Amino acid sequence: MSSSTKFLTLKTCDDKKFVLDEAIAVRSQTIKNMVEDDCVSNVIPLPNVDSKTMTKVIEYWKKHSEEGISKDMLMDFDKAFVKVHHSILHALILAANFLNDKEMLDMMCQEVVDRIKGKTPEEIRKEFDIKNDFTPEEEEEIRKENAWAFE
Amino acid sequence: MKKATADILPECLIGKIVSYLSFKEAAKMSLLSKTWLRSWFMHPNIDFKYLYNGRNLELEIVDTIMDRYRDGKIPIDKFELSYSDFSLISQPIDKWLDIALQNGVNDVTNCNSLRNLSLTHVKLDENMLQTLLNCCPSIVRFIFDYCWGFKKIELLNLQKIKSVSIKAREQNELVKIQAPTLEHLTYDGYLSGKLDIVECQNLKSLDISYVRISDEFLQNLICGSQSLKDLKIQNCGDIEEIDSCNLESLEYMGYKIPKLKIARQLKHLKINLQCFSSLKAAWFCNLRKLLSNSISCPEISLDFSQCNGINLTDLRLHQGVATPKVDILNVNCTWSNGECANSTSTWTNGQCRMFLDALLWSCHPRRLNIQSTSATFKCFIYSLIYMKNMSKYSHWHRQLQLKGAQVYIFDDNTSQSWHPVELNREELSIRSNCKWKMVNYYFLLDW
Repeated sequence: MSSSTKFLTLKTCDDKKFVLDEAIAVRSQTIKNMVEDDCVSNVIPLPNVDSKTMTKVIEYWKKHSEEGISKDMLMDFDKAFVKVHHSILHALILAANFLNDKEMLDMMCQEVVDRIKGKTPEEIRKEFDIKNDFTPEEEEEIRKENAWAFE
Repeated sequence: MKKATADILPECLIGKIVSYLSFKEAAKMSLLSKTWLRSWFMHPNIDFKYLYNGRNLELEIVDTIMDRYRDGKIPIDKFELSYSDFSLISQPIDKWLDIALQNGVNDVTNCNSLRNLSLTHVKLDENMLQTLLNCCPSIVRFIFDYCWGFKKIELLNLQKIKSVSIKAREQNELVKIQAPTLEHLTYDGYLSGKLDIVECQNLKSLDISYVRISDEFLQNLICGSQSLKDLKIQNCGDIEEIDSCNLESLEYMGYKIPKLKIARQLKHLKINLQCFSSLKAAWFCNLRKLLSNSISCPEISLDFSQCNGINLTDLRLHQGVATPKVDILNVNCTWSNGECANSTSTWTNGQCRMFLDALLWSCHPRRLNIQSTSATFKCFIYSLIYMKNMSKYSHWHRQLQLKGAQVYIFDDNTSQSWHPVELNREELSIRSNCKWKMVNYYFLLDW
């Protein structure tokens, strides 16, 4: 590491601090903008991200910033990385969205899509804890309108 | 109270997830909750390729959906429409296309957002087609397969076009393309189409089939677009010569063997030749010449199913080009030994032997995959044994320099797997397969 390596301190909503190489932290467009605009004092607060989620995000950032890592290794890492409970998946999507890391957000959304594919709405509601806010009549009507998709 | 997880995600993220789903999957998900329903309403990629039957009911569904896009001014990024039943196509298509085009118009930049347009088996008249092309100047990807009702397609002034696929399904259609930004073109001429390509200097891949093209046309195209790397030609008449100077990949399918000029860059070569009428020595000589000019290790497929005779007596006279090196040679020999009712000739063992000699000499394959009758299989195995013995005596066979061969045959009766075959006559005589049964086998050849 060169002597010019700068470190940033990130503080999550549960008051945990993470010290991170700036070069890695700027994978987040949000943090990058703050650094570029010189709004960075000592600590960058991340009011929308908890420490458990941030640990995962940093794990992802570090792996994707490793020098000389092969595409295959990254693919294996990503595959394992997204294999988490849906609540963590959702937290990661929210974090990636807030931190504005498009690559990570795309990957997490794709994972949701992969989990949804081929399942019935009932199965998906159960898996993702989605609350059905339709009346039975409304649901019946939507089902009728989209019958072509259920064939 | 625990909040439902999906409600934690803001609507815009659910919208993003829904937009990654296919149109049909997204429609299904509209049943999940009101947020998902609204996200489905905003889906940017319309895809009606599921409406196979074109029943009235389904036309109504399409119409309802398109009306919703129109009334909500919902941006459309991609519009895909495909029919498999041509007779029912009627009025609403131009209305739908109009909505797709109008809703593409982004209010802020006043530029059309429709980037992908895919129409398959759709009837359009010339006016509709022209309006369509005029209305989407910023289109990136254009698929226009098996559409009909017009005589001419002109793709001009499309500033952002990158990829075009046009497959004709009516005779004598004219296609003119002038697109400096175009990178990928697929064209199928339905045997009688006419293709005119000008100013496509950024073309990277070209896949062209069933259209008569001249050597000059091909030459101009290859020289005119230095970036052309992938060329695929299928049944495009008699092409004498292919100048492959910048090509990295060439796939050729046809009846006549072309000449190949300089192939240094070529990394991938796939040739699929069909042989009509009777086989002559000159045919194999041309094949050997073609392969000798390529330094890559190609895959060659030869189809002799239409071939009805063989005369290779003067094969030995032609020598003097570099030894070709083919990785995989696929051969379809479903003809020989007169199993075909209208076939006049029955190949003798001598002819079989000559044929295998010619194959090995012209291609030098490392792996030779063959499909033939059981009788032909036996003939070939005898030829291989003969070849092994002959290399001591015959100058011709010594020149071939075949060091060894392994043979594997596919057992489709019991084990459904490949089995080695011993190269001796005794074992072959035990095999009591029906003479006309089709068998698959391969030779691994050591040169």
